[in-house]
Amino acid sequence: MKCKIAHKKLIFYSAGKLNDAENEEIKTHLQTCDNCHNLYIELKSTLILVEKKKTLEPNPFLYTRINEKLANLESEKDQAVITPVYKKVLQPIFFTFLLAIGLFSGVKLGNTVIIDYQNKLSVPHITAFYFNDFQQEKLEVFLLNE
Amino acid sequence: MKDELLIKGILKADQRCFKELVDKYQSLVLNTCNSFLHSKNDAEDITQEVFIEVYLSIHKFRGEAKLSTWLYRISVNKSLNFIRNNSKIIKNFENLFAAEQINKILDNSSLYSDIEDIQDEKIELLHKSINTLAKNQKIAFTLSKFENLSYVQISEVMNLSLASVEGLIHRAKMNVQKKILNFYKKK
Repeated sequence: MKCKIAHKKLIFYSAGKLNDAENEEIKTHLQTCDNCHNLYIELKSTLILVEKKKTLEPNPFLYTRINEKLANLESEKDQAVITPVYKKVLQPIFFTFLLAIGLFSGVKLGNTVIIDYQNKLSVPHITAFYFNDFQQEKLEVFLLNE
Repeated sequence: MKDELLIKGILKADQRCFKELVDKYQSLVLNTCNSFLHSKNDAEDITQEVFIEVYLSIHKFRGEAKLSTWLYRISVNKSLNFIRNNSKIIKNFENLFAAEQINKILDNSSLYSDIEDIQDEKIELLHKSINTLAKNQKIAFTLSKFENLSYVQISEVMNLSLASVEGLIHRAKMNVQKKILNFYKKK
């Protein structure tokens, strides 16, 4: 038997899953080939570790931790419900309200200025502006004063 | 308490039933996760996630399969998702140092004096060989070898035919054997 063929069957030989004829063939080959024999020993010693796998001890606090996480998840869920209501409804309402207040106060302030201006306009002219000041003060009077 | 009663209790939000389910199956879930993750801390984290998933989606369990089969399925999926999500980070490092690491193992192996060190090296080699398997081969091989599930149970967990499971395990064994022999041939 060639080493290459033997290598493909070592794992099944080790598990005793070959038929009698194949089993005998591999057995004879391993007795004559040191290299294959060594590889078989290494393979078997590695595969045997699967069976020696450590079984983990259950954690006595596992249930408490799961419960804690579930409680956190539920509070996160509640928050997730509140957040969209805040973002989609309350926030636009709030900003619309602010905008309305801004507009209203702007209009009010503007109106007061207009009223003041109109009041000023409605006051009768105390001084008349003449094109020529001589109309106001006659030349004779001016010269006399001088 | 029987599984059916536990499920009914959990559906009614009975915490005692959920606690009993956790106590009854935590060893199964923890060890299944550990078989895939090879890390106690990660396995414990995923075990918690598995039971949370069970609690939240117990209404989806139709009772067609055993509860343990359903738990195996969730454990396997959660563990593989964890590996997939973490492998992106780990892979980058592994690619960088893979060649260096193998050379290191080869160099150091002759210096191992302690039996435990040699055993650790073999375990690492075994885990690496299993991790390189294709997804389905890995699930079938791990459940068969580490969890000692029968081929019928594995076919139920994986939703595959018995013949497919046999084929998967056969190919997985061949691939693991090849990896291990290649490692020792290089030595």
